[in-house]
Amino acid sequence: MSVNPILRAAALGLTCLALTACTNSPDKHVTATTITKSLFKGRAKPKPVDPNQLAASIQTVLASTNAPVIALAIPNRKAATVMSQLDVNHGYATFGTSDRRSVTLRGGMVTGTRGLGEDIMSSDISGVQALIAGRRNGTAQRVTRYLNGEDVTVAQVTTCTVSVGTTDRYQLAEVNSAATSVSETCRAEGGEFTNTYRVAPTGRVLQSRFWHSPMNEYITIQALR
Amino acid sequence: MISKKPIVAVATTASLLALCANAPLADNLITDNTNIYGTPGNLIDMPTAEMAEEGQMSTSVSVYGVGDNNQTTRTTLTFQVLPRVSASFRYSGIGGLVPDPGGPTFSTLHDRSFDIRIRLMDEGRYMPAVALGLQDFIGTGIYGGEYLVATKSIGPRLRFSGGIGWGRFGSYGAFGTTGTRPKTLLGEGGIPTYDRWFRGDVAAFAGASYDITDKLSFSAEYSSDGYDREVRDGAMKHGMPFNFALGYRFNESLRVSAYSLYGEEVGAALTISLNARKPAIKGGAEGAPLPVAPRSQGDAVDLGWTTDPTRTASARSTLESLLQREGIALHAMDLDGTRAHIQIRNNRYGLRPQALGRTARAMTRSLPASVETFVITQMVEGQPSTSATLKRSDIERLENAPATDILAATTFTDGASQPDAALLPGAFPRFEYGIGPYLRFSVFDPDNPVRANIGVQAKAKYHIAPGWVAEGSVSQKLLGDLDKVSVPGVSKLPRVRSNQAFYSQTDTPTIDYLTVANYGRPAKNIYSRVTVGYLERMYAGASAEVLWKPVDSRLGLGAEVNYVQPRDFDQQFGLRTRNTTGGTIPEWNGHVSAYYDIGYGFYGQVDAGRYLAGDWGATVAVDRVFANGWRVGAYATKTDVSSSTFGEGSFDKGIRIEIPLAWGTGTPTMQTSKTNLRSLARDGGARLDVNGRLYEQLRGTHQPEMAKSWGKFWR
Repeated sequence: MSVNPILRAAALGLTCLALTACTNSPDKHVTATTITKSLFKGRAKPKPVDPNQLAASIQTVLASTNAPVIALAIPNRKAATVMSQLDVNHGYATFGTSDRRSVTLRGGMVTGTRGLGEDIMSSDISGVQALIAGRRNGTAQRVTRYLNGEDVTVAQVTTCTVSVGTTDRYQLAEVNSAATSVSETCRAEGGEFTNTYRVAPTGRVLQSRFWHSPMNEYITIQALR
Repeated sequence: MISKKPIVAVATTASLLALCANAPLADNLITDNTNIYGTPGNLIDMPTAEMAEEGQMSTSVSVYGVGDNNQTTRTTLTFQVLPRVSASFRYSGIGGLVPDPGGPTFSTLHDRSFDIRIRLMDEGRYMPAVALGLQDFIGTGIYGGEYLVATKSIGPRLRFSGGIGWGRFGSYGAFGTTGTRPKTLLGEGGIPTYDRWFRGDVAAFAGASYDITDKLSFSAEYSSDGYDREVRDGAMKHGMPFNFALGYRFNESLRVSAYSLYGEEVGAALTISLNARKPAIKGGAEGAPLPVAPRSQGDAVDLGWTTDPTRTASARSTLESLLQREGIALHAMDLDGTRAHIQIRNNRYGLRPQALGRTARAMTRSLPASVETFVITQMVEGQPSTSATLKRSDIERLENAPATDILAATTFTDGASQPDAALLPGAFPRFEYGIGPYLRFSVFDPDNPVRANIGVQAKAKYHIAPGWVAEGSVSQKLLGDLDKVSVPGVSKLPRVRSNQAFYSQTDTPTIDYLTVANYGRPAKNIYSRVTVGYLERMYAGASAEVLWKPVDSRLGLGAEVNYVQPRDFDQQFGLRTRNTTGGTIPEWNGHVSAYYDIGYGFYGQVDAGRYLAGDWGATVAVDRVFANGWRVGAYATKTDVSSSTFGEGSFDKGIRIEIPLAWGTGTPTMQTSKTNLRSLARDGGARLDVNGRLYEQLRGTHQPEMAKSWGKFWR
């Protein structure tokens, strides 16, 4: 446990003494007991992904639903999971897990996440998506919205250059399709990031590695069905 | 504390600065270091024009001097109110000073002081940043001094500062003088020392800081503080005007430093920093909501279900269980063919838009497709607060749009204007209890800076029927020394608060409060509360309050009247006589209040009326409130009691800090940590401490407040 959480806990320390230890009240989630537990437990370290376990859970999820399924990995946190589609709303497909993490995709490109930390709240990707899905070189704007430390929406506006690479085959789980590599380099004040995609002839993005946030860095998503 | 005059100055500055709040100040001479007065800056005893990041709250402790006699400790709480304004509160223990003849005696002088620093100009390519500061500008002014200082960086590691100062900063090597600086104290202290500002000798100071590595830094300065009184009283020696320090930065939250002062003293300092704008996890770590379930085309015209009671019942139970998963209780529901009105009890989300957003999504997943209008009313103490009306098709259409779009499509009205909805079976009665430790503390006792009691407390709350709440708390002290808090000598006021030590002497269980309250909605925009019973630890009686607060208004107006009888010191069921050494405690007190959301993150509150001791006056409070719920404020009460009757400090004042626990834990909760730093309780300007005052309970559910964190709607 680093110094920061300790200080944070110390800041809330006086509170700790003022918190109830045991209560039935529905609005008291933080109690002296939960604070103490979290202090001793420290921040949960991400467990390395067991490839066999992941493969097994892919099979389980594919067998349990007829809906589209994706695999999501956060290399920076050594985390990976399988998500199935929950709902499609106006072309935005939301995929989720039973432990309440979700991502929203439009044509296979991420526009929002929930429960991952420093979540993308919404995105305007129509410009870049037209280039990426059409596998065309060009420049377009991308807007990604986050909540800042005050819980106020902030928009990151970037200008992105899309360039098209080679075409090969994408074969994973139940997906088997030709796929063209496309990269998208976005520049904003204070830095740049490069997202990479593999795009089917239909324009659907089958695989992507995209910049999520300073906390999670790059996230990868692969279509499994 | 900050009296009316400086507040106006701060507010004006606030409005000016808000214009450039988005300017990239991030690298403009920002530091998380503090000097030994605990103000942001990389020098030692001298100030700089550096600022901390906005929202930074640092606590620093610096100690110098060896041995008991001349050891000096400065504990400072500094808050970066705005990018260019910081305020500090300091509690010092100065050893070795000789008491003034006729003044109170002490071995260590405990003194409180307040500073304010304003950056007038940011650093440019060639121009330095310039700041103006008032140090210890209220009260006895033992550390009093004013300065104008400029700081310029050369490369990322080296910073030079130079300035001129008055008061302490003009006490060594003065090159001129501007008028005479009076020595006499205004009132009994606690009043801005405006008669001294920028008067007297003027001297120059300078210094430099260098970051040797990212962790290690060195600084050196030429000080214009002669430490005249310390030297005169033999508390310290002044060998030379140069100070040096070596600092180590563990991370952005923790720093330590060692320093030498005037060639004669060595000292050490520790700084701990938190930032209101840096939560555990930005946007929160809570689980994802269920997405909106869009309707298929054509579904919306099917009204067949309206004649089928089982489908209505099933929609209600689905909604109830979906909401329960989100920590929201379905309180009441009214469903017809195209419109649903539900009342909810939000038990989880400190930022109310999140409760609304999750409720709206749960409604799309549970209500028949023909229901197009959603009305969601938030309940507070069993009474309706704001109703938000949304079109279901807007919720479907805007799920992936910026949150401002759905805000624009939402209508806010007074929940009391909605027709009654059918209560769910679980709505009343409800019983809640909790048992846990408690800590009560008292600070700034002249004999002992911090005293505390620790014990066990059991609370219970019974929601009897709409608006009716019975609640109580019993506690048992285990250990502590609050009974030793000094009781000030007889004043001309009845003892309404100053005898708090007597209330801490008992070793038997005490009833902290035991009340029955009724919360009501007598009319549109009007809220009411009546509380009777044992209202607080010292008083029993009755309290009635009424508040006018339209759901979309930034202004709230309230009035409160209280009938009180003092309770026995053992805080059981008995009452004691109203006659005290200083007079008779009046039975009646009360206030009219105005609450205003000034904008730019500032809130103001004025309470005017009759205080517990029968004194008439007003309390002015200003808070810096962040959208995430962090709140740092200051208040001052002035009544018709003269400074000399009131005693030390002249009038009551304090600092209040509220930190939402969600900021620290990363998961939503309505719980907050509240700290109130105030002078020793005295009898002038004292208010009744009754539970359930209306404004604070309602504010978060009203439109102006929800608009600030509306981004949470889709979180």
